[in-house]
Amino acid sequence: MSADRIRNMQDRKLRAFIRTQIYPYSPYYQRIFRQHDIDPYSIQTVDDLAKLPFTFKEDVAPTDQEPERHKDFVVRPDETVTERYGHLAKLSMYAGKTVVAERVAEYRPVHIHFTTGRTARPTPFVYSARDLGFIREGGYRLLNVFGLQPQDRVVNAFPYAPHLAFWQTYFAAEAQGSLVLHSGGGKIMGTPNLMDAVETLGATVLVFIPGYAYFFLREAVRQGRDFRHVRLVLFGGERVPPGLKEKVREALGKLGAGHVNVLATYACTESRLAWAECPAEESHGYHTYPDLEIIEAVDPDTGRPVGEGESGEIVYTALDWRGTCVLRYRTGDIAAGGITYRPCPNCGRTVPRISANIQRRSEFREFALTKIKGTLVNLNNFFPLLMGHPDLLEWQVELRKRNDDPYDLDEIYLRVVPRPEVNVESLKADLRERVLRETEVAPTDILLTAMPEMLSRLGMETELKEKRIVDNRPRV
Amino acid sequence: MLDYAKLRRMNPAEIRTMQDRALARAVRELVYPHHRHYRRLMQQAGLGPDDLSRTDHLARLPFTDRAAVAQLCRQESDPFLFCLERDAGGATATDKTRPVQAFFAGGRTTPLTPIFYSRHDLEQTAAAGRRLFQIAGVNGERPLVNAVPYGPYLSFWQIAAATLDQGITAVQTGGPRVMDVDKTLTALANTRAATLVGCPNFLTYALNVGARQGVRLEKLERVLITGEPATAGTRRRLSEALAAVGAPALPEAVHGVYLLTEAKAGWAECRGGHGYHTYPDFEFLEIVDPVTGERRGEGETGELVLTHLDARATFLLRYRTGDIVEGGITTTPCPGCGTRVPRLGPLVYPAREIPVAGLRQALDACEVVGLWQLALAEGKLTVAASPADPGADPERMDAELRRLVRGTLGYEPDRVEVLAAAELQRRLATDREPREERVTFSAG
Repeated sequence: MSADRIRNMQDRKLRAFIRTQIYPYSPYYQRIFRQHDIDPYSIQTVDDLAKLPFTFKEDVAPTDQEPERHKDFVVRPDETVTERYGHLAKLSMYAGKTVVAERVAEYRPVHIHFTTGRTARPTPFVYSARDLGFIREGGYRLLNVFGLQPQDRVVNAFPYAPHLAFWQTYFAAEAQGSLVLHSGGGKIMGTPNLMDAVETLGATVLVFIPGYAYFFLREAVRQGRDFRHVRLVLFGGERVPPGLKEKVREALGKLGAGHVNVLATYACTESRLAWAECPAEESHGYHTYPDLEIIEAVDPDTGRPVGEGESGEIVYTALDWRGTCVLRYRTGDIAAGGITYRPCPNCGRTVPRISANIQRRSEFREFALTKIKGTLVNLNNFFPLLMGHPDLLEWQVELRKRNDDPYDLDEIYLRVVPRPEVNVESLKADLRERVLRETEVAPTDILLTAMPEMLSRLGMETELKEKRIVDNRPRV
Repeated sequence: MLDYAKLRRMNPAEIRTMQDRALARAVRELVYPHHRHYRRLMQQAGLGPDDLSRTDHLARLPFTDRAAVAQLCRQESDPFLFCLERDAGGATATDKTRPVQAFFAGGRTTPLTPIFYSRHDLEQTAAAGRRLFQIAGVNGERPLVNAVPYGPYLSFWQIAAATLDQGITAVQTGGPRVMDVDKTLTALANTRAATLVGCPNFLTYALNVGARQGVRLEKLERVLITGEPATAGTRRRLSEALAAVGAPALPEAVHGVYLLTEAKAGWAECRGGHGYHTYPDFEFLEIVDPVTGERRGEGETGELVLTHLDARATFLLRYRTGDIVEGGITTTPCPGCGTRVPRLGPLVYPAREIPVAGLRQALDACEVVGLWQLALAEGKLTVAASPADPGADPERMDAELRRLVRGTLGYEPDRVEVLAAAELQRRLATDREPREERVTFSAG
């Protein structure tokens, strides 16, 4: 579809969604419309969304005072609406069982994902049976963009949790029809068993969290495993620095694989599905689904929409979903290059694309703009810098206080495991220079750490995500 | 697939006739032409495609077991050796018979064995979920918390498939390794769940922690337990824990569920102790002597042997499950619900626990024993236990344990350890491991 037709379709769907679902059935947004004196019928086009205030994570996440706040975001006919428009029992009398079943499938929460709870209490996001159709459809498109074939054999190595990453892979595979092992990751199956599974199945596609993938592949190289069939590695859950893609390709080369595409997804729990980049050497961004969501890019300070291709914060609006729906949700993720509406130069798809150069809040939001040595430092910058560094095998940043005194100076220790052949002094000098350039603070010390100790510190096979940044500063 | 309402009213003779027909058809149309391993096995035994036309004829075929499946697949570098050949590749995405989901069986004592499910199989698993929930009386209108430990096994997926298929609101926690006790309790409280599914010892532990924290779960109506033998003592302890959090669930609301990845369908009890209600249109089950392999009679304890009747992808004939079914198979009408399908049990435990058979039940049933663990190492038995009453005299406890072992097994344990509950709890790691290691083995 052309960009114009896509926008028309979105305008039409948005109008209907606001009028027939959000305003009557979403307690939170009904309040917002009333508080801000917004007529739901005044939302005619996607541009009119700007009349609505943004929604932030803090608005959705449960608190001690309001432990059930998230429920106000669930689209469901309440008692008053039910009385007015017809109770299910009444419906069944004149409309029959099928209509009742459809209503139940449309609204009853069936499936629940939780946010990771790093920055707020874990927040449930519910799906109705109808929504599961959407996540399946999104998953089908995701694998289609990646170029998966039904003959592919997939190992889903995302750690099991009631989170989007694992379940999106499950529903995608269910819709697409490839053979899949949903392993639950190294934490569930154990890394050796997972390697056995990749070999036994002759896996062609591996789905991973990036940090664990690099550890897994290095370990496989050490054990002389045979991963010759692998042709595609799909990442989710974290940003994927270009340097890491190269390191993963190199490791797979040593495992007998030929040319391997290493591709990434972008998603957040609130978006309830994930988007993919199409197979190419250079990323052309995440291909979105304009019939299922509206994506805006806004200036993170002013909140004003930015132009096509301009950097901005990703703002998500659900379109035609049920269950937990958010409108104008500020993801906190900054896309350098924003959103593009031109056809993808690689695959030709005309859907809006989000730039792949995203600094994700979900990585270490609690450490974004942390004050260290009196300077505001975005510790997220360590992630692409160190994850993609060609001479590093593993790394961890540890924040401490001098003498373990909460009132003393902040200290940053950078623990690293370099490649064996690397000149350590040159590496340290390089890291000092790069860290200073990217974060504007110099590390207190760079500590060489043995691999077993590092893996244990990271919780590589025991944690849901590795602990890359650890704040050991004593609290006052 | 038959209507279960009809199936549960069929008498044993009708069921046997139906199974004979299903087996004959499966062997003639699926196994012999499309199953490389069993075709070879049948040819070696001098059997043609029409020579397994009745379930009694299965005795003509040698057994298969988990280790053999793993070893043969490895030997022939073909993970699909036990799949129907036409299903193993090259088909289109809409084909319902080729493998789409890989599971693994084993892992603790046997090598990981790949078991493949097709879409046809997954539909059967979903259908089994409907039957299972119906048998156990699960309230589909109210939320369910699935605390079965996650793994690429049927145990987690049977419950997940059932809730997704039936549109039941569910939290799939993944078990204690993924969502700890506090999060599990929060999920139960926040969803006001009516049904809880998980391993009984973890559930008992979690509910007792909840009771100490003042958690109230008045809406909890039903508990489905799996993964560990559902002894009478286990049920009693769980019922007590349920009462402690205010759940009205009575002992009869605790249902055992037997989930075997290779079977592709889970079986449930309608009431505790009445046995697992099976699906004779999906599988043919036998009980055999674990040593001689001879088929046992109705109600006799022995090893469970599985034969698929309507599977696709992985298809197994005369597969020794390695599970001992105490009470064997019963075909008389169920005293609880009147169903006439074959019932297993009521107790199932791994064959390697045969040397201590009976002791698990005795320890679970003993009211002075709190937690316990058995260790078999180099032929020597160690019994570790904590007293139910923390103030109990350790010497009396020691004597009681020795008496219990002597009375059950006929000999004295080599070692008895009376430990504080906290120490044994740490050893069992109930709060963080998928399943407790109640009985441990080491070579010797």
